[in-house]
Amino acid sequence: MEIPYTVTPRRETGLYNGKLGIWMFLASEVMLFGALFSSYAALRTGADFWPTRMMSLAMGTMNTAILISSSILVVMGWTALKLKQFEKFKLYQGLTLLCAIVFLCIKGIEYRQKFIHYEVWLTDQGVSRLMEQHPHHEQWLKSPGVFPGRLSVTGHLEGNPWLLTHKKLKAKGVQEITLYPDVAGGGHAEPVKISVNEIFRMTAYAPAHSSYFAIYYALTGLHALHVIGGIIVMSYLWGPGRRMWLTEPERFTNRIECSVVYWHFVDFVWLIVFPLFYLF
Amino acid sequence: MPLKFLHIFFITAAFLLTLGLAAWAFHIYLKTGETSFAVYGGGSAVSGIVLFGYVIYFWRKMKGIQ
Repeated sequence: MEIPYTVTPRRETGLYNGKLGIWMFLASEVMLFGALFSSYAALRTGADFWPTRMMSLAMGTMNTAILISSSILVVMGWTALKLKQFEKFKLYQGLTLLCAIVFLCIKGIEYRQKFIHYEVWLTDQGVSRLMEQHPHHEQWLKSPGVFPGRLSVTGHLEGNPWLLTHKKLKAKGVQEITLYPDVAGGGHAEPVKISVNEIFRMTAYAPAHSSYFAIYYALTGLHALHVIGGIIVMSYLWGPGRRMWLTEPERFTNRIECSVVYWHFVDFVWLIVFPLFYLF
Repeated sequence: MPLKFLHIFFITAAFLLTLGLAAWAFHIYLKTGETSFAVYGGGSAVSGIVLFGYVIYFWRKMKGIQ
C-alpha cells in the first residue's frame, strides 16, 4: 500500500507528512530548549554572583559565523535541487557537513580548554601564606565570587591534568600542586605552589564549578547533540539516501527541505546561546 | 511556514545579532579603549551589511522558485 501525502500536501493541513512531522518535532524541541533558557534566566537572576566573559569570544564568534554560513549553504543546496542541479546540491550539502564538523571540533577545543582550567579556593591559612610569600599576589589572587567569602586563584595546573578535584588529589595522596595563575588582562604569572591542606575547594571549569558552568554545559552540550543529529541525517541524505533522487526526485527534495528546517532551528538556538555566554 | 520565509527569518535574526555585536563591541571600546573591540565591532557591522545584501539577493532569487 502506498503511503499518501509523502509528496503532495494534505488538503486539511496544507503540508505533506514529513513537513508536518518536522514542525511537530520542532515544537517539542522549542519546549526543551525553552525550559533550559528559562533555567538560565532563573539561575542568573537568582545568583549573588554571575561570572561574565569566561568564554573565548574569538572561538564563539568563529562558531557563529560557521553556523550562519552553514544555514546559507544548506538552503543553497535545497535551491539547487529545486532547479534540478543535483551536482550543485552535493557540493553545498558537503560544505554544510564540513561546517557542522568544524563547529563541533571548535566546541571540542573549547571544552578541553575548560577541563584543564582550574579555580582553587583557598583556606584562610592558605591566603595568608600566599600573601606573605608572593608580594605581587594582587595580580592573580581573586576576590570572592562564586564561593562567598573565599579568595581564589584561577589558572592551569602543571601537566595540564583533566577534571581534577580537591577530593581526587587527597585520594591520590598528593601533598602539593603547582598552579600557573591567570593574570588580569591575559597571560600567566610565575608558578605558585599550593599545599593541598590549604585548598578549601578545587575544580576545573566543569559543571561542578558553578551554576554558570552547569547551565553552560547543559545548553551547549544539548545543542552539540543536535548538531551531531543533523550531521547524521544530512550525511545519510548526502550519501546512501541520495539514490532516491533517481526514482522519486520530489520526495527526495521534500526530505532535504525537512533537514534544512531542522538545521535552521539548530542554528537559531545557537544565535541565542552565543550572546548569553560569550558576551554578557 | 515555507522554507524561504524561515530562511529570511533566520538571516534577519543573524543580521540583528551582528548589529547587536557591533553595538556591544563599540560600547566596550569606548569604555576601555581596547582597539581589538573596535576591530570586532567593525567586523560585525560589515558582516551585518553582507547579510543584509544576501537576504535581498535571496528574496529576489526565490521569487522564481516554487
